[in-house]
Amino acid sequence: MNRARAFMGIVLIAALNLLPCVPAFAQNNPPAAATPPAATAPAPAAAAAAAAPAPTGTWVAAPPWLNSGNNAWQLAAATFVALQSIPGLMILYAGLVKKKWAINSAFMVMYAFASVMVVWVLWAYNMSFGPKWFPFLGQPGPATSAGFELGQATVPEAASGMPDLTFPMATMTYFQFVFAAITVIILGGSVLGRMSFKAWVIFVPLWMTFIYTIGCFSIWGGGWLSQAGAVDFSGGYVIHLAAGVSGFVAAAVVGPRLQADRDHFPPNNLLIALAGAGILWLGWNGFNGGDPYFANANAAGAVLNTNICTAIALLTWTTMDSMKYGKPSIVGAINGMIAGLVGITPAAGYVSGWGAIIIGLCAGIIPWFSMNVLAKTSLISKVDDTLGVLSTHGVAGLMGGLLTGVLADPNMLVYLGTGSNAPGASTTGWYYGNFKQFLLQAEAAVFIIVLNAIGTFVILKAMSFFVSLRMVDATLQTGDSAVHGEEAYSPV
Amino acid sequence: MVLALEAPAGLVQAGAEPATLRCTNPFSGSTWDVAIDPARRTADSFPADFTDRTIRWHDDARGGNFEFDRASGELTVVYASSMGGTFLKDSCRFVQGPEGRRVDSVSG
Repeated sequence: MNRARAFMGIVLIAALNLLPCVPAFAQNNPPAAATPPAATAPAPAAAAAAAAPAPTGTWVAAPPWLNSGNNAWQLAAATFVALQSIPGLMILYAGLVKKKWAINSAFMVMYAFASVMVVWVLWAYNMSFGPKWFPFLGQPGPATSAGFELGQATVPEAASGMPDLTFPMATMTYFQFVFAAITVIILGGSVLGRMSFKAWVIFVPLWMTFIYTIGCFSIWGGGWLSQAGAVDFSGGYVIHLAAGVSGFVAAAVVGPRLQADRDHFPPNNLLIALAGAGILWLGWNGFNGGDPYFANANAAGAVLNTNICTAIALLTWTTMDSMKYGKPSIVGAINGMIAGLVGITPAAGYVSGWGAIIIGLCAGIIPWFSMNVLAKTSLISKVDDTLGVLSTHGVAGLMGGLLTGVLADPNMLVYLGTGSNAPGASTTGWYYGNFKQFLLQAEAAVFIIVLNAIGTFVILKAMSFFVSLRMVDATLQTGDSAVHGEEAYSPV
Repeated sequence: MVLALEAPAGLVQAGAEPATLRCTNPFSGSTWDVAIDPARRTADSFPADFTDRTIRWHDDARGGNFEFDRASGELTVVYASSMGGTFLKDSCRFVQGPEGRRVDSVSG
């Protein structure tokens, strides 16, 4: 019986993965992008006359539009972000949870990474970055043909504010995949320790298809928020606010851990958690440094600002912990680090170093207050957000996005411009005289919050008619060995 | 020889004659013209929304959302990028109609 149910589960996932691409093969080419270099055509037989010169053909490594430096940086940045998920968040989660949940938590991360990869290339990439279908969504279609992968990268609805990209669509697709994957992985931090693995297997592709793509296209794919002027440099809204809100709603719908686990949930390995945190921090150099899509000055500024903000936030959070609890907590330091990384994400290339310092201070205080005060109120504490994703990602992402609307420095040029585009692409915040940017940031935040709250609720409620979202209590008491037949640490 | 006779943007009120909006980028000094046709409700041949305060249009060819403030003469352009939107500000004023006549009234 169990085997039959497992088989049906596999069939369901395969159907989820394959159905939407059936009518969409016609779109399997990069929109308005250059075609890959064609092979040299064979010479006509007539040209083989005795007087013909010796063949002079050569090999060229890349088409003229490809810049090796930019392509290399973009692939490296994508790999840094991928490392944030596996092994970064995989071992961070595994180390932070109770011993009996180490394997399940790690495997939820690894499954999501693989599942999103399939969904992404079969239809979700084009829903997020492809030609417009609706003002908030691109047309679904695969990103798998040779012509698509090797063609020049472009985001058709968002091309007017960027130089022509100088790497292939394959680079673009992979770079954006690792962002999509880490979003749902972050979300998963809210439901560790009780969500049914089968429900997680179904939830990930559904959430990626119906929620992530909409927020992503609206802000990054050239959708309505982008057209209005809202900004999100690397995902304060598209990734962290979305994951925080969806995670919180998922935690509420799935239900809490066992009360015994809520009362006593000690990290089983803080050193491995620290290793994960370190990978997360340095991986963020690719997260924020990769988003200008060029190995340019703004990418360097974004990397420096990311590290400034993170350092300040970590130190501030630790100070707050010391003042409140009398001791500097390492778990608190990790949370402060994450809040700093998240807070600077929407702003990294738009604010100066001074802006990064201010955001770092705020990231060490506001998410701390959310986690240590608001989350402990009777109302909020009814929802069992296992790792406090609402505070460290949702609140920090919202704060960073709004502060971008305040602190964005018009001198932080993402791209240089000439003629009618001078001095270049940048964002001007309220502090520099543009109050409208703050309002745009608030509007974008409301959209992401409402989309994720309602969308995640509907998906999980619909799923609950077919699959149990929460493990049964007997399984919850045992943990990893009951779910996977494996344990993190051998008893022998 | 046709002289470009400039009319302060604030004086532009009512009327339906085609006109030329000359815009200047304050950083580069680069100038370019936009053909405004209130009768056809177009700007550079793209459909435009005319109100007493603004003229708005979207450039379907190059992308970008344009908003001209009639009172201040400021042209705000929003270009979409894959990190969100980018704003550019230019200074514009009506200079002449298509036959070189002075234009002091444009609207829709």
